[in-house]
Amino acid sequence: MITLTLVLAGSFLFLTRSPPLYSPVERSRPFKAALVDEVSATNPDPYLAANVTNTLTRIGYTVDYYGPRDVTVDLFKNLPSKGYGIIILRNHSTGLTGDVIALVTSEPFDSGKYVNEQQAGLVVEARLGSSNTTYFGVTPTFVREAMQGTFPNTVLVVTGCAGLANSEMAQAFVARGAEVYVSWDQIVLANQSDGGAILLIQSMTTGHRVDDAVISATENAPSSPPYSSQLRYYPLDKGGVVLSLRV
Amino acid sequence: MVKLGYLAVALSIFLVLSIIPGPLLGPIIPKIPDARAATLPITLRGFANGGWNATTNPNPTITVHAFDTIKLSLGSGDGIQHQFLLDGNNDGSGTVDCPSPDPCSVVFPPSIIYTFTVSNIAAGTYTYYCTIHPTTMKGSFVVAPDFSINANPSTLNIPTGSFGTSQMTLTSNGFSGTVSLASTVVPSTPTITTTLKPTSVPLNPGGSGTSTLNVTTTPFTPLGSYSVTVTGTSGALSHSNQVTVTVTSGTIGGTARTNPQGLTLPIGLATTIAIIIGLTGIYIRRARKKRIPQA
Repeated sequence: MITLTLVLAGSFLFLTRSPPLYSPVERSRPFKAALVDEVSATNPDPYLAANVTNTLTRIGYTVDYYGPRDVTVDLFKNLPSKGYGIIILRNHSTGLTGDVIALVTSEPFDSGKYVNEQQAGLVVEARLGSSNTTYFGVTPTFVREAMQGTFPNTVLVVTGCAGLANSEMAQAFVARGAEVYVSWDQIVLANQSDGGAILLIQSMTTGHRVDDAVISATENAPSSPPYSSQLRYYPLDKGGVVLSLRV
Repeated sequence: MVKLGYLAVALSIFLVLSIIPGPLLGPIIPKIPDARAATLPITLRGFANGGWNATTNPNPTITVHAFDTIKLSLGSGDGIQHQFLLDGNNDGSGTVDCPSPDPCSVVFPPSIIYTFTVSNIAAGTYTYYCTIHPTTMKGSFVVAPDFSINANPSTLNIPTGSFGTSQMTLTSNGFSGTVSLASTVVPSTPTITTTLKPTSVPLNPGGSGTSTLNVTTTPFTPLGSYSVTVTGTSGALSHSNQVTVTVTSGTIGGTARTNPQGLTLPIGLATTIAIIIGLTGIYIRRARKKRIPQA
């Protein structure tokens, strides 16, 4: 009786935790990844870029790198149609003080540019720290209304501050076709954010589910005192998402 | 047999003395220490008749290495005035070249401490004097060949996951040879890596060479201050220099302004426009109503 119970319990755990049972959706995710690195204009992290690129390349992904100069409103507009299975958005983001969550581009703000988009709340003027230069930031409304194409079940990792302070941005990306959206729920320093991204990708590329990878990355990433930000994912029913390995 | 016994005792004394550390012999055998790129304390007491340190080791030969800093404690042993001068250009005891190229103290007593560095004096043998009693108070001052190592910049601010570089410049003063370079980080962490390119620098007398120190951090490097020590070694010569590294990280957040001022109408203006539009509408409707019966 005890043996039978143990066997049943073991089988249950195996079936529920074992990663290789990929869903049909998972199989269709392209082996193409992008690292959008607006933050490197202020916080360069070649270690992260090299590490993430190597990790993803090892499991069969090709990785496109977008440096600060490339991170424009137009890039975001066309991002869904570029066919990336994984996108790491290393962008500053707003939303820390109750303002709208916006992903900051490297495109300097100009009140005479994207006038209609400004009026419609698709883009906002974003300020980084005490800098006098401001940049265009794209809002959840931009993701819903201005982006072109659909994300092909993309796993989105948004490494900026408070990308999941609320679910507005996450919902918009999921509505645009992303399968799961991972981000921080509060302010993070670059080291926590980058360390977390590295650990998350390492975990997911070794067969771990999103929910496990998020917990492990949060626990092992450097901390950003006094903040206690945690990585979270959306939607909550996508904790079982795994990356397939082309090896 | 007795003679053999004396010989054995003498030999034993010699052997014991030979293994006693130098500093312990100081009181027995007066010696001017030989320092390397360090601050070297030397005491000289002036005696017009007997010379410098006449009561212990008259006019001792002073040997230093290029780039050493000499900290001279100068006093008068006979109560009369003296002045120390190192003839850095070998042209005699005159004070014309004082203080450069001839390092020289003020006249004493009272006792003073005079500090100078031999970085501008080429390796070689010179004479030090009392400018007031140059014939009796003079001795040899030997500057042995050496090299120095300097970092530029000496401080680096490096964000996590990034890197910084500092150029190490090695300068020879009479030194000829190859200097091997190595670096250490304190406090030690596997998340900081340092490289030196090249790791060995050949130097000719009077020449110089460079090596680039690269300090790389990861996102997992604890924030804070680190000291990277670069040490150059060639045979018995060894010199170090430090680069202070501060590992930083910034927030990656910003603030958004959803209604840029350029697109917002002031409340007063907006209200005025609304009233004008409303009144115009009412006027047009009334005008139309008036026109319809006429038609």
